[in-house]
Amino acid sequence: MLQEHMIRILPASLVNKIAAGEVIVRPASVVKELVENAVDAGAQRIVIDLANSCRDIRVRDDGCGIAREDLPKALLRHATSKIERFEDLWQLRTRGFRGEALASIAAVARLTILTRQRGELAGARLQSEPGQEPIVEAAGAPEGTDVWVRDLFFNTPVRLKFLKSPASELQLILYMVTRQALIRPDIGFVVANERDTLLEVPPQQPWRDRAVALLGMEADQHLLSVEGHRQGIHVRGFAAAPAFSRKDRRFQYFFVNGRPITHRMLSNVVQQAYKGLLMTQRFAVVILNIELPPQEVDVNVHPTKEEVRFRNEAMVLGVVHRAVQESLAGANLLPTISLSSPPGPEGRQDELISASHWFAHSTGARPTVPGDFTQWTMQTPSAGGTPGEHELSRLVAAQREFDLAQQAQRNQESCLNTSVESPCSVHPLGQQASPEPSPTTAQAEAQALLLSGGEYPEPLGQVADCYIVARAGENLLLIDQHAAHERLLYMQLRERAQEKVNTQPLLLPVTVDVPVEAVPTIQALTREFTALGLHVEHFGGTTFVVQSVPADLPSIDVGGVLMDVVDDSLALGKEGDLDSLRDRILTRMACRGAIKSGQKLSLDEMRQLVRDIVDSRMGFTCPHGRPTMILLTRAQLDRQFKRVVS
Amino acid sequence: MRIQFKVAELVRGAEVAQSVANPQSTMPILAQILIKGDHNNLASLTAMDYDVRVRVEVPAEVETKGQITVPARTFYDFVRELPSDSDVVIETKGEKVTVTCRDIRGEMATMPAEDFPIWPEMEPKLEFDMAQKDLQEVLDRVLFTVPVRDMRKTLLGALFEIRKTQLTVVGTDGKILACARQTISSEKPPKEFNAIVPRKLLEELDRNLNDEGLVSVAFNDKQVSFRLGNILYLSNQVEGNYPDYNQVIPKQFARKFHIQKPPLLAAIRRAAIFTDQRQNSVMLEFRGDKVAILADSYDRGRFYEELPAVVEGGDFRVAFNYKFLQDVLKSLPHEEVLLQANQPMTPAIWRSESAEDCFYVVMPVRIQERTEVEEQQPYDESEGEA
Repeated sequence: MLQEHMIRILPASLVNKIAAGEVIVRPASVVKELVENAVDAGAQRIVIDLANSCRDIRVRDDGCGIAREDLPKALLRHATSKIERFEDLWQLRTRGFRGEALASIAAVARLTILTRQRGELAGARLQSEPGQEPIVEAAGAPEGTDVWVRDLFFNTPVRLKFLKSPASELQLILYMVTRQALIRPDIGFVVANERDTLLEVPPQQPWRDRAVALLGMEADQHLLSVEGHRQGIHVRGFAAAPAFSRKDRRFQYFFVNGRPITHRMLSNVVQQAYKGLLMTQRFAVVILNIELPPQEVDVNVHPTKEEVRFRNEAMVLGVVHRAVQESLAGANLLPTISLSSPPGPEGRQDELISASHWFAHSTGARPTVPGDFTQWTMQTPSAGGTPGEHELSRLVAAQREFDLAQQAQRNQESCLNTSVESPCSVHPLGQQASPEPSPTTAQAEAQALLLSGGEYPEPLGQVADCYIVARAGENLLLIDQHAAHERLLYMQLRERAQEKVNTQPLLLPVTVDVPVEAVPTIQALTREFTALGLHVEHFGGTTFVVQSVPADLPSIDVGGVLMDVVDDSLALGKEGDLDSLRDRILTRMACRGAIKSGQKLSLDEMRQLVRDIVDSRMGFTCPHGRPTMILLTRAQLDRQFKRVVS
Repeated sequence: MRIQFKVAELVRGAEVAQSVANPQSTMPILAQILIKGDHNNLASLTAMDYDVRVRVEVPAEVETKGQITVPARTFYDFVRELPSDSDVVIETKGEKVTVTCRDIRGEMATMPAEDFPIWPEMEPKLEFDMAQKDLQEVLDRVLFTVPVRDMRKTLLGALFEIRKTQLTVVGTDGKILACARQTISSEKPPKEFNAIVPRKLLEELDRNLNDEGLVSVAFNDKQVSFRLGNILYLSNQVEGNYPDYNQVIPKQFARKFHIQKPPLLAAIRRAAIFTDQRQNSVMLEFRGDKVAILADSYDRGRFYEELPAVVEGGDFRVAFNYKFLQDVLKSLPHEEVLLQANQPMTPAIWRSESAEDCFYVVMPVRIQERTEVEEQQPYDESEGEA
């Protein structure tokens, strides 16, 4: 018994295994560490080959390589070329710095490194098995580094058992590489699984092209550029128009000084900037790189460096919020109907070929890029393996398949979530012409279309007592009367939420009965309601009494508002913070106070609504994120009637 | 079926009927008018909505008895365009109905008359007559306070409260309450009777009441009917209990203000120009022997006007929704109006100086949430400017 409780120093092999557990938790971690090393090594191209259910991982780059004499040290824990002193941590410009990655990988997998330094004639090879001394020998190698990890976790059966399905591991790897590729458009990336190319982007891409290549062609019409800076903090990147939203936050890519990170507060701030433009449960798509002096951010928070801490978080969040909001406010978010058929496979193929071409033709086309990837094969550096070459046609086919699958998934998503997007693909105006329209031109374009000849669109009538049909110069404007009015009210309410409100006390107070679990929520929200002009008092039990309404919404359906907010808060559960509930109150008040669908309007009423909505700056979607208006341009009508052949 | 009408008489009947018919109904038959000829010299036009029904009797020569339905809107639009001094013949031909007038012939689709809902006969529990003019007056005063939409279904109609020979009609949307009284003549005046008459029926009545003649009103527990001449309306009552309106009527007043109505109404109209949707209230400031009417909004600027007034109970400031004020002042009879109030935040009453039969309880608007001291400031400034 005593023996078992003695304190011992653990053997190095066990220490390494334990430590590896922090950094190398799954195949994606291996890919992440190796790709980061390749990026730090100044690679122009990084090729990732996967096999054996993602347990065999090979990452090749054309970076600076490792000197032969350094190679034995590479696997030592805390061996790194990236920092020398503690102070360097505050000046980090590289991805890695801990010197743990290779050591950790070597502890849980068989590892081969083949490398040749730039300018050296001879390369070197390192082979390692966990628990054994690595063997280093001279070897012929292309410039750069080629790390091949095999049989990942073969000596840690528990971890192996807890790996997810190969498909989800693969998905994670792709996500991981996408994040790296998004922020380094100068580097080409290829990911292949069992020799099927899944992702491929050329080096030296313009940032926007890279983003579109990775987010899908559809993104092309939706990406708005974001730019903002204050006090040494620069935010650059893209925010997608609300029409290109997603149902989770995974498509919010944040980078700090080029390092991919996750940051809950950043994500929240972005959602706030989109407030009122997105339907509930939809999330904005953004790619944002925050650049700030390295000493302003601590990346050494988490072993995987996923999380960072900002010295001045409030300031960073503020800059991001403002930058995104300005980008959205300046953009023309007015949807138009696309009556023409969606882009056919021809166009798509062109894109694909051009995207894949760099690989086959890079030697000739881009002399600056060293090495010739087409020559690379999946051979084992020591034992001469089997895998064959990448063929262009295969790549194109694979890429197309991948893209089409993504497209299908997107379509499915949009069908599931909203019937608005799918039937006649609605897309924002003004982003087709130039790839990155400046906010002012986009806004001007929308204004020009809506205010032809300086005149407001003239309503012609109502369809189904639900839509207003208006003539905007030579264009046809369709307006959802409820959505439009709701949008206006919402904006008024939001503006007004800042100031004190005139209230109309009720002669006959309205009593509302709520489900018992909602009672605390409403009690907690009483102050919020009051600030908005709704005086809600608890009458006892499950009954509340509304004593007054906002003076400018005298006919608001207070009971309805209260019930909606209750439903929202119940659905939100504990996550519903006060701020989002407050916004929901506004949304609901706008909805309940707005003209209903099915309500007959006089021409004067329509005229007023059209004017107001055209005058409003961000009135192109209702607070739930549905579009308020659709524009059919003269050109589109002409095409549709075959007056012009497109 | 073959019936001959005078065009003018048919148009009048069709107008009343088509106004009740509901083209939006999920029951297509409710978009039709039933034309029925079962007497020699009288035909009837019937139209129904869910609650409100109307039957108009029109003099006619019924050549062949029978009944037919016609699409309300098309039929009315067509007969209205016929030469008004001529005769028109309506007859069925198979599945169609033809309307012939001189050399003009219209043919329209019809639906089976048997599908038309049966006119529910009503057992009256209470009957009385009143002058059409009196009912018209009551409706003019009350109808605008009855909301088109509200969660509280009982507010979607006007309360008809009968105490012996006195009829009190009450309408409210929860912010303003109208109360108008008239005397009725009844052989058996009830001690006490209450019913809520739906807004739509009141609107139809309002459109068709005349300055002369009587209207016969009948109630039972579920239904109400109004007969004016050859037009008979029958409707379900709004179910439920009307709120106890007496509770919200203040009984005593600390302050009274007498103002000439026409200049006040004109001032409110001018003030309204300076209000917007957000600032939709006007402030009345009584001081000495004057009332100042003030309005301001961020977008449109500020307004100030002074009128003479008789102030009892000291200086006083109170704000109202300007639309309420306009409506109230427009419908109050007589040249002089009286505002009775207690506190700026308690219900106030607007009434005619000399008439007890009509008044409005109006809830003032709370202008921002400041303390009394702070509240003085913006208007002191504006006064200085004026």
